[in-house]
Amino acid sequence: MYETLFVAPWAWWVAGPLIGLYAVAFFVFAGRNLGASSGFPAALEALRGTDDPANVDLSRPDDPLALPKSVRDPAPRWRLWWMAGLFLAGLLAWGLGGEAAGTLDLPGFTDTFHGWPLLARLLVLGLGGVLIGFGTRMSGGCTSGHAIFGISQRQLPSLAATATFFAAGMATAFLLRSLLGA
Amino acid sequence: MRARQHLPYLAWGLGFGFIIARAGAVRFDFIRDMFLLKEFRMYGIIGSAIATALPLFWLIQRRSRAQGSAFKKLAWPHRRWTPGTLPGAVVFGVGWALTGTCPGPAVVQVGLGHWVALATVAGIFLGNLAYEGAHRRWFHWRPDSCA
Repeated sequence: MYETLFVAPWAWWVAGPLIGLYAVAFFVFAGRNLGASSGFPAALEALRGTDDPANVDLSRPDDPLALPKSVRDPAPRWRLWWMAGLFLAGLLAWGLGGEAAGTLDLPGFTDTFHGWPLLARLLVLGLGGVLIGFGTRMSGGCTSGHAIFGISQRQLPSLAATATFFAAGMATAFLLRSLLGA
Repeated sequence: MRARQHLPYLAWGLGFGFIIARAGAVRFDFIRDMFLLKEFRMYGIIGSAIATALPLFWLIQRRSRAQGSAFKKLAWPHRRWTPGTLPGAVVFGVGWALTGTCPGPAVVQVGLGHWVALATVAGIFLGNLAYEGAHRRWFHWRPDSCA
């Protein structure tokens, strides 16, 4: 029982419907959608002090890059708290499951880039991260915002974006495999 | 800080992070094998998540139009097309395949003790800063955001 819950990965037909129910419950509770990628610009806004509507000069024309916010929002920093929860969840899953404890590696990452020194592998992750940040901000969403919330709410731009990032990911993975000869 | 209003969101993040960690959606090898069409798992997860949420959202949307509905106050989201919707998705897809993670799981990976994921997280911040610069200089559309 413990092994099934906390050590072995959950079956897809358990995890998937749970994520779906989670999305609907979050929307009903919070009255808004979730997008993991918007946590990052939210953190940047917090550093600049522009995330609280009370601090923003409303007479100035709106910054088009600012995240949508409302003066009446009782939890203007919700995205940051939600992200902190993600980090704690990782710690909890690690503590309960002991999964790959203490390794620098991501499962399977070093195998894929076998023979690459740590610095080179970190550069791959850093470059990939830059593409994730740039791309999700440009596209207006990621796997949570576009694929899960967007498609479930029958939003056509989200469906098209999801098909596009899956296609680009596949092309990249197949190209990597032929280059690296895994 | 209004901790009392924010605490529920910490719990929501904890719940989401724990589900995706236990689902394996934070694992480089699972994401790689999804893209290489070697593993059905991730398609099953994302597909059944959508298959569960779509009819429920549809019901809520229908009910929210009814008089005196408990869902009346929910504003139905509307996603706009921008010239960046599809090019941005291409850029994100390449990054997703390189790192084996999307933005949420990157943070979970750090918590799981995979410290190399700090490079991914740092990259996502840099990518956001780069986009802000690029948008101000070259793009003239009104951006759309998921949340």
